[in-house]
Order: sequence, then structure tokens, then C-alpha cells
Amino acid sequence: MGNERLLQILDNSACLTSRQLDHYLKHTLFPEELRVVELHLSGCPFCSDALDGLEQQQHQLSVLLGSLSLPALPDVQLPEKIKEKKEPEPAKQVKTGSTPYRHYGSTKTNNTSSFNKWKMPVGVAAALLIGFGALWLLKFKKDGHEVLAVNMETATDSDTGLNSEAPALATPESIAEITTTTEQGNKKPVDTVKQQQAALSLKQADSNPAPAMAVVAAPATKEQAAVNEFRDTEKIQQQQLAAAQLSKEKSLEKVRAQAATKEEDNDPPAARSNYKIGLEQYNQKEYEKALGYFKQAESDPADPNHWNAVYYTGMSYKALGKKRKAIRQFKQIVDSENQSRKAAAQKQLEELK
Amino acid sequence: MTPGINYRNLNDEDLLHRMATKLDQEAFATLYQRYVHLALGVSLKYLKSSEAAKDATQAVFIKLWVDAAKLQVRKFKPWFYQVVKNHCLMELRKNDPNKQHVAEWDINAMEFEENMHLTCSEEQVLQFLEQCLEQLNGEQKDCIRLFYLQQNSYMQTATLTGYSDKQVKSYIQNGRRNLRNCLRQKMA
Repeated sequence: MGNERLLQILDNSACLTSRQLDHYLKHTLFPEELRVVELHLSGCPFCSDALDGLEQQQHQLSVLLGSLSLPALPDVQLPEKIKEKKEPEPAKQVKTGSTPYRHYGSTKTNNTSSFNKWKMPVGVAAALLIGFGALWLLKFKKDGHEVLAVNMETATDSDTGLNSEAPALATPESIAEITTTTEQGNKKPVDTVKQQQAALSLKQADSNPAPAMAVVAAPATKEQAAVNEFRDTEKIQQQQLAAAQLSKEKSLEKVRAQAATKEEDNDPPAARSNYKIGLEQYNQKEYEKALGYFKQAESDPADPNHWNAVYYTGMSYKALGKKRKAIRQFKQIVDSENQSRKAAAQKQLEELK
Repeated sequence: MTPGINYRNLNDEDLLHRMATKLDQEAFATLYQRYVHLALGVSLKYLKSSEAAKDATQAVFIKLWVDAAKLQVRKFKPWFYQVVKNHCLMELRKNDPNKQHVAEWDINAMEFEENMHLTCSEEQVLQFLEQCLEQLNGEQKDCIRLFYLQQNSYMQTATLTGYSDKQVKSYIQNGRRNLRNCLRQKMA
């Protein structure tokens, strides 16, 4: 009597599709599929409850489902740890955005906004350094020029002045003065007064143009030093940015590699990709080509898509008008233990006969 | 979202994981497609009105999306079934202070069966099952025989036994559960 059928109570199949439910309610399932559906219903409270609910309804399931759309999804925050994985896209933006190095202050801070969280410290540090460097340079340039001008005046003044033998004393003093002027960029009148005082002391100390020129040279070299220093900081910035970019690219590659391995996990066997390619060809109505791929995919009976491949080989034959070959394929499915394509194959057989 | 992944090949738990870790909307859409009709059906069973059932279904799925990261779900299906039922229950409690329905269902609620790991040979299991079948009450035994062994449909079983469709369904489901419980005891 086939007592082994009792083992079916151990079966845990996938839940019914809306099509299966709908056809079950309308009593339009083929006997084989009806069997499958009822076997599942006997063991799945979820599906049998759903069926109970739908039986009570006068509306059709398809109508009800049609009026029900995918809900608008509210924004959800990812937990921090996992967020890192989603980072590759913004890295590209940084790459394009960070090329113009000239507009230090503004673009830098803009770039930092597109940095990702764990890159933030590097970005912020870079922006701050560049910003300060730029500010310093601008300020120094401005004040430095003024100082230069003033010093030139004093120099020309001192041309007419007295001789002196102690320039060494005066120069550090004036340099000190100059540095104070650079620090107090806003108080220009005061500065110029101070400068004149310094010039006066210079006049008293020595009237030779040489020391004055030395004074002029001193801020000049200082400016030079500042420029050099700025260039250094710029270099460091570039290096840091390059390093940051490099590490970003590295992490990008890492993520890509992870994604690649993950996807490999999902579809490794060649049989499946044959099946996949076959499907693509089939969908493009390239049945001859599809047939080749399906035949290869079907050659491995252990492959999970084996029966799908068998089915699609039959479908390809059918599409090509090779009726007898198609029937042979579908018969193979119907006569097998496999359940998944059976009903469809049965249907195909009946259509072909 | 990720190209090259066939979401239909992923199981419920994988999809839920993708939702939780990647905010994967396609994973959500796949789960939605898999279960929306069932959630709707269950909601219909309890809430009766189709409008209320639709609202409940939407609410449950939104909740699923929002809470995905917080959830620790080992088996999606039984858990989700419970969530849908509980949601309907709460909806009814809102409107019905007597809470009559609730008591009724709690008795009828079928627990989900876990996958059984067979620790002995198939013949051994079959032997146990036949012993268990003899222990079932008359109606359940009859329906189980007709449905599983003689491969009759629900309707044919109903005709052959003279029970109503609902009775047949309930006898088969309960008989099956009893068989599994009995088998578990014998194998333990």
C-alpha cells in the first residue's frame, strides 16, 4: 500500500505562492500540484490559516494583492560596525574632489564632508593644517609686504642719515618689531608708528644703507622660510591625502574582494552559470544557443537546477518546433521523483499532445 | 541592490540578514513577495474586514523592515506567522474589550514543527510511524490513511469519510502533529 508515504509527514516544503493559493481556491490546480499544495497545507499552519482567511473572502486574492503595494520604507539607521562596508562609493567622490589644491580653506572643508567617518580624523587634520597654513601665508604676505614697504622707506630715509657702527644691535630689535606687526595685522596705524619708531632708532643707531638692507633681507628670508614651510605642509598634506586615498582604495578593493567571494559562495558551480546563461539566451529568444547551455546544465543530475534545466531544454525544443524532443523532455520530468517542475511539465505535455 | 545575486535563491533567513546588515530593499521586496499573500490571508482570517487586513499586513511588513537589525530570528517562517497573528490580536484587543476571540485562538493555535533530524534508518522510522498511527484516534487515523497513504485530496477525503472540509483539514493537521510528536518520543 506504500506505507513509505507516511514519511511525507516529515516533509517541510516552502510555503505556497500566491498563485498556488489562488488556484487552490479556484480549484484549478493540476492533480499533481494539488497534491503538493495539500501536503504542504497539512503541515503548515501559516498557509492553512491564510487559506482559511481567504476562503472567507468574496474578493479574489489577486484583486486584494493588487490593491496592496509594497509599503514605503521608513529610513533606518544601520548599526555602526556594519556601516563601514558601505563605504566604497564616497571614496570615488573624494578622488575627484581633492585634485584642486589651490583653494585650500574652502575645498578642503568641503572634501571633509564627503569623507567617511573613519577617515574623518585624517581629513580634518589635513584641512586644518592646510587652512592654517594658507591663513598664515596670506597674513604674512600682506603684513610682510607692508613691512617691506616701510623698511624700504626707512632705508631710503637712512640714506640721508648718519653713519653708525652697531647694526647688529638694531636689526634684532626691528625684526622683533616686525614680528609683532605680523601678529597684529589689524592695528596698522599703530604698527606703522612703531615701525617709524624703529626706523628712528635705526637712524640714530646707524645711517648706513647696508644694515637697513639687512633688515629688509631678514623679513624677506623669513617670508621665504614661511613659504618653504607652507610648501612643506602642503607636501605633507598631499602625502597624507595620497595615503588616505591609498588606504581608501585598499579598503575598496577589500570590500570588492569580499563581495566577490560572497557572490561566488552564492553561485559557484559551472552547471548553474550554464543554466543562467541559457536562461538569458532563452529570454532573448535565442533558443538554439539556449539549448546548448541547458543541455550542458542538465548533464549533472546533482545540480540543484538539474530539473529546471531539463524543463528548459524541453521549452527550447518546443520553441524551436521540435515537438517530439520536447515531449521526451517533459515526460522525463513527469516520470521523475522531482516535484518542482512536474506540474508545469504535465501542462506542457498536455499542450503538446 | 547587489548585482548578480538571485534573491529568489536566498532563504528567508539570508534575506533578513541582508536587510539587517545592508538595508537591502530588494531582500525586503523578496520577502514581501514570498509572504504578503499569507500575511494578508491570516489577517483576513482574524480581522474579517479586508481593509483592516490590508492595513495590518502593511503595518507588519513596515515593522519587519524597521526592526530587522534588532531581530534575532532563527527560523523566519514560524516567527513571522506569530508576529502577524499577534498584530491581529492586538488590533482586535483595541476594539474588543471582551477579548473573547483571543482565548479561542490560543487553544487552536498550532505550534510550528521543527525540522526533525532523523537519527535512525528509514525503515526504523517507518516502523515507529506505523506504531504511532495505530495510537491515533479513529478520525485522525482514518483521515491520515486516506490522505497520506491513499493519496486522496482533502475533498476526496471529505467525501469518503463524510466529514466536512474543515474537519478533514483539522484531523489531518492534528493527526500529523501527533504522529510527529509520537515519533520524536520514540526516537529520543
